[in-house]
Amino acid sequence: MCFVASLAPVTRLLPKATAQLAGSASWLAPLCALPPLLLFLLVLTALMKMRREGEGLGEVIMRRAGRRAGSVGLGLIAAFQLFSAGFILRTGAHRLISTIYPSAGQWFFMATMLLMGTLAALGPVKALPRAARVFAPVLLAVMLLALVLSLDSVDARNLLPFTKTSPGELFLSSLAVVEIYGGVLYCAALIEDRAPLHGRRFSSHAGWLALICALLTFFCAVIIGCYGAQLVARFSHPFFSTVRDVTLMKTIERIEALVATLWVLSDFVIFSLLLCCASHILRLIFGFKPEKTDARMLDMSNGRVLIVICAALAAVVAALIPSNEETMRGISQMIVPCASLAILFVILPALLLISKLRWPRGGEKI
Amino acid sequence: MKKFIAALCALSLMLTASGCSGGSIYSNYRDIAELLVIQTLGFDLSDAGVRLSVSAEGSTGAGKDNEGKTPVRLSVDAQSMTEAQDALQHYSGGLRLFFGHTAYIVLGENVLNTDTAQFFDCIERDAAFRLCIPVFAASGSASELVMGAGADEHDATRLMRAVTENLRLRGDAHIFTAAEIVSALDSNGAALICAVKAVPADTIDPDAAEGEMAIVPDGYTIINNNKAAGHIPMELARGVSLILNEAGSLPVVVGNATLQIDRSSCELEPVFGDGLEGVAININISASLAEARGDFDPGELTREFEAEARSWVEDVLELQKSSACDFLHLGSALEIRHPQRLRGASENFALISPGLDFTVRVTADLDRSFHLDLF
Repeated sequence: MCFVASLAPVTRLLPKATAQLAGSASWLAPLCALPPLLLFLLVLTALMKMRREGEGLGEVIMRRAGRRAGSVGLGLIAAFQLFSAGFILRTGAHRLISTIYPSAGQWFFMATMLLMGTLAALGPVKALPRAARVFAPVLLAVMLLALVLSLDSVDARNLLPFTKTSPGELFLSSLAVVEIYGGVLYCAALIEDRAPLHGRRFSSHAGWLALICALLTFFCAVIIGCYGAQLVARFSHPFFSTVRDVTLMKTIERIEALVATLWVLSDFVIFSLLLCCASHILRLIFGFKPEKTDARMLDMSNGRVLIVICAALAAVVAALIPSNEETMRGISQMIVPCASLAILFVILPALLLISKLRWPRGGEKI
Repeated sequence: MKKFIAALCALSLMLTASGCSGGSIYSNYRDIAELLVIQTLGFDLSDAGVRLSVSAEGSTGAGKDNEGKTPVRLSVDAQSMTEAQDALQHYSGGLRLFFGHTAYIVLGENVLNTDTAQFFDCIERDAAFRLCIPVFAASGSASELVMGAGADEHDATRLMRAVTENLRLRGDAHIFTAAEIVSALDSNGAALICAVKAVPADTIDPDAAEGEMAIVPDGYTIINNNKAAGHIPMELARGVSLILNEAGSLPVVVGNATLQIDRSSCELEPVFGDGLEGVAININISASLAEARGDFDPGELTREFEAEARSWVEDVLELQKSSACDFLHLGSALEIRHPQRLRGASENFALISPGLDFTVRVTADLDRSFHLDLF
C-alpha cells in the first residue's frame, strides 16, 4: 500500500524538484534519502513498540503521550492530512489535464476521485491494502517497462560527473524522497492494528526502504539521462514526458495517456489513505473508538460521520487552492514537504519523547 | 447479489472508458478516419512571422480507403507556430490535423541563422510533439524541401524516412533528436543538427516529374547560442561519427581500393602539464576490403586509410576551434574522466580549446575481405 500510495507524489516531485536543486547529480538523491529515512524509522519503531494488541500509531500516542499532548500532536497531523488530501485531488486532476485532456475542466476528475475515495474510506479498513496489493504489480510493471524501454536514450554525459553538485545540495534534494516515504510510513502505521506486536519492524521496513531507494535512483537516472537535468527541471511531469517518447518495436507508441490514467490508482489509494488516517485521528481526539471490525458503509454511528466531514473538508481545500501553476508548485515543493518534514522530525519525535518521559522505564501506568 | 451489482457497475464504467465511445467523458475524442496524420513538419521564418509546411502520408489514419491516396502537403504563414497549426486546419479538407505522430522536423536555413529558441520552446511545450523526433537542418528553405518533394511514393515523409534509415545504417552522420539537441544546448550552448538538402530529382531519376526534388544528407549544421555557427560538410561528417563513436559501415575509397568500416572506438585522454595542455584522441578502426582494382598491398592500404581517417578528425577539430564552441562536447567527455582536475570543462571547454594541442592517433586494422582472402 505504501508503494502504491507514494507513486502519485513521486511522479509529481521526482526528478523535477531534485533536478532543480541538485542538477545532474540529483539522480543520487534517493540514495541520500536512505539515512534520514532510517532515522525516522527508528522513531516510528520506538513508538510502535509501545502498542498493545489491536492498536495503531494514533491509539499508542493518545494512550502514552496523554490526551492533551496526543490531541495537539495528532490534530496537527490530521489537519495536514486533510490539506494533503485536498491537494491530491487537485494534483491528480492537473496531471490528467496536462498529459491527456488539455481542454477538460478539473471538477469532473476531482468529484470522481472524491466520491471513490470517500466510499473507500467508509468501507472496510482492510479493503484499501488489499486493493493496493492488486494495483502494485501493475504500476510497478508499467513503470519498469517504461524505464527499461527508455534506457536506449540515456546519455551518460547527462549523469556524470556527480561531483558537479555539492553534498549540501544533494542532501537538500533528497528531502523530497524523505517526506514522501516518511509520510506514507506513518500513515500506514496510523491505520495498522493487526500486525504482530513483536515483529521485526525495523529490519523489514529498512529493507523495503532500501529497495525503494534503489528503484527511485534508477527512475531518476533514466529520466535525467534521457533529457539532462535542466530540461527535466522545466518539465511539468518528467516521468510522463519520458513515457511520451517510449516506442516499442516501432508499433506501440504514444502510450502516455494509458500510463497517466493508471496513476489514478495511486491517487485513489493515497487519497483514501489520507481520509482514513485523518478521520481515524479525529475520532480518537473526540473520544470515539474506531472499530476494528468491518462496519456498514452507511453506518454513521461511533463518529463515522467524521469520515464524511473529512471528505467534505478535503473537497473545500481542493476548491480553495488557487489553480495557478506558481501556487501549485509552491505548495508542492515548499509547503507540503516542509509540513511533512516537520511531522517526521519534530512532531512525532516530540510525541515519542513525551511518551518516554511519562513512562521513564517503559512500563505501563496503573 | 452485491457482487453482481458491483460487477455490473464496473462493466458499465468500462463502456465510458472505451476510446471508441464518442459520447463519453472524453473531451479530446477523435475518430481516426477523420484525422489527417501529419508526419513531416518544416519550419521557416517568413514576413508574417513563421511559415509552417506539413506533409501527411495518405489522407487519413487507417483502413483500406486510404490505399492509393496522394499525400497531402500544406504550407501557411502566421505570426507563431501555434497560430500556423491552427490556420492549417482551414485547408485540411474537413479532416482534423493530428500532430501526435509527427516523425520528422526540418528547420529552414533562415530559422537556423536567426534564432532556434522559439522552435525548441514550442516543441518542449506542446504536448502533441514527442521529444524523440529527429530534427534536421535544411540547407535552404524547409518549405521547399517539404512541398517540393514528389507526390505518391516520393513525398517528403518517405524521402525523409529513407534518408534517416540510410544514415543510421551507414553511420555517415548521427541524427540528433529534439531531446538530444535541447540537452546539448542546455549543457554548453552548442549542438549539432543533421543537415539535409533538396536537389532536383530528375538528374538521377528519369521518371521524376519536372521540378520534383529529392532529399540528400548534407553533413551537420553547428548551432551555437541558438544560431547557426557553421556547417560541417558530408565528407567531414565521418570525422564527427568517429569522434562520437557513431561510425557505421561507411565505404571509404583509398587509392585503388574501397574499404568498409566495420566498427570503431574513440578514447579521449587529457594531456596535463601546468594545466590542461592538450588532448590525445585515440581512434581504433576495424575495416574490411570491399573492392579493389588490380594489385594492392594491405599494409600500405591500411596506412593510407589511417591517414585519411586522421585527416577527417583533424579537420573537424580545426572546425571546432574556429567556431569557438564545443559542439563535439569534448569538455564533457574529459570532465567525466577527470572530474576534479577538469571541473567545469563541460561548460568552458570552448574558451580554452584554441590554446590546446590536439593529437590524433588512428590505428586501423584491415582484417577481412568478405568472400575472398585478404592476404
